[in-house]
Amino acid sequence: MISDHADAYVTKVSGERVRRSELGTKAVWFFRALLLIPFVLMGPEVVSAIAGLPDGIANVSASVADVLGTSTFLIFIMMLAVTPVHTITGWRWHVILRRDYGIAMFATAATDLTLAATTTGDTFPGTVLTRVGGHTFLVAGTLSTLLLVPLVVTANRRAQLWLGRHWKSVQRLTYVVWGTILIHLLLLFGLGTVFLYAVAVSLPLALMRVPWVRRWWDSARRAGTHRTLRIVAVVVLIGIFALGYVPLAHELADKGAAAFVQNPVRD
Amino acid sequence: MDGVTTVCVVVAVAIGTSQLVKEGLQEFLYRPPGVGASPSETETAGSPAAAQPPQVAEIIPAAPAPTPRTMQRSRHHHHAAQYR
Repeated sequence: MISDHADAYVTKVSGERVRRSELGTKAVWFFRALLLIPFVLMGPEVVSAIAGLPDGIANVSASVADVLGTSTFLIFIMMLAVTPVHTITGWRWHVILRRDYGIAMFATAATDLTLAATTTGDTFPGTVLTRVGGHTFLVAGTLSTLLLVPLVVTANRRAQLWLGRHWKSVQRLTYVVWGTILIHLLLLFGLGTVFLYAVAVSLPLALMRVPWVRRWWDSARRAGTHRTLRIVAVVVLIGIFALGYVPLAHELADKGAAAFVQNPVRD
Repeated sequence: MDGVTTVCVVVAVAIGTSQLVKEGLQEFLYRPPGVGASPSETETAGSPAAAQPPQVAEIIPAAPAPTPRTMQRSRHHHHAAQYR
């Protein structure tokens, strides 16, 4: 069912039907399966907390930002990477992942916000409002999550038909969310490593969205010119991207594994 | 959709503003220990002197007493106190 919707969606967006090879279909499902990771990692702690086991709430409180917060950002980055990958390679089989990753990002961020609002009383004493907006970085995080609502509500064909030309301007809200997430990380970590990792992954993705860069790359790829320059540029861009993405993924693996065995890393 | 977006922004700003008024600017800007780049409570609780490893002179027991029997007893007691 999701696949049918996906095909319909791509058809409408691009004006051409995308024919995926068997390998492409498998790859799409592989990347979709990755979206379950944050929920699998947090599952045991959430179940323990619901069951009222000792330390259940405290464990969720310790893990929620590290696991779901980092996951949300990594999913967001993967979603943003879809368009540059298309610009660079011309592939279309993966374009459906942009919508899937957007919806998954909202699901992860909403779960993060809900769990933070209900379990982080030990770190942020006060009411639910204190836990979602009692500090500058919490307001930025909450705003980022709430701004995903109009994006996810319009991430379907019916909304696209209903909104017409306006649909694209609504989807440009993604760039506002990008900014508020970076502000959230800046307020949380200062000009430290995590913020710099976020900037490192953002830079290549932002560069490939600059209209004249995108146009130049697209025409060069179609014409088969400037091949060496494009290869060097891809290597540099992937290198910068990896500088930020690998440590963040490593962080998620470490903190996520600790959360999964219900022995979270307490800062 | 503009309405939905506006409502979302207003809700987030309203929560932040209410908390700013309720808790004050200092608390609003404050980052609790262990959150983000802030050092954890265990890191901030210990003084810099306590956090540093003991000097070599502190580990080495004091000079032994003149008589051999007293010296042995004294060393044991001292070590026990060190590692307790």
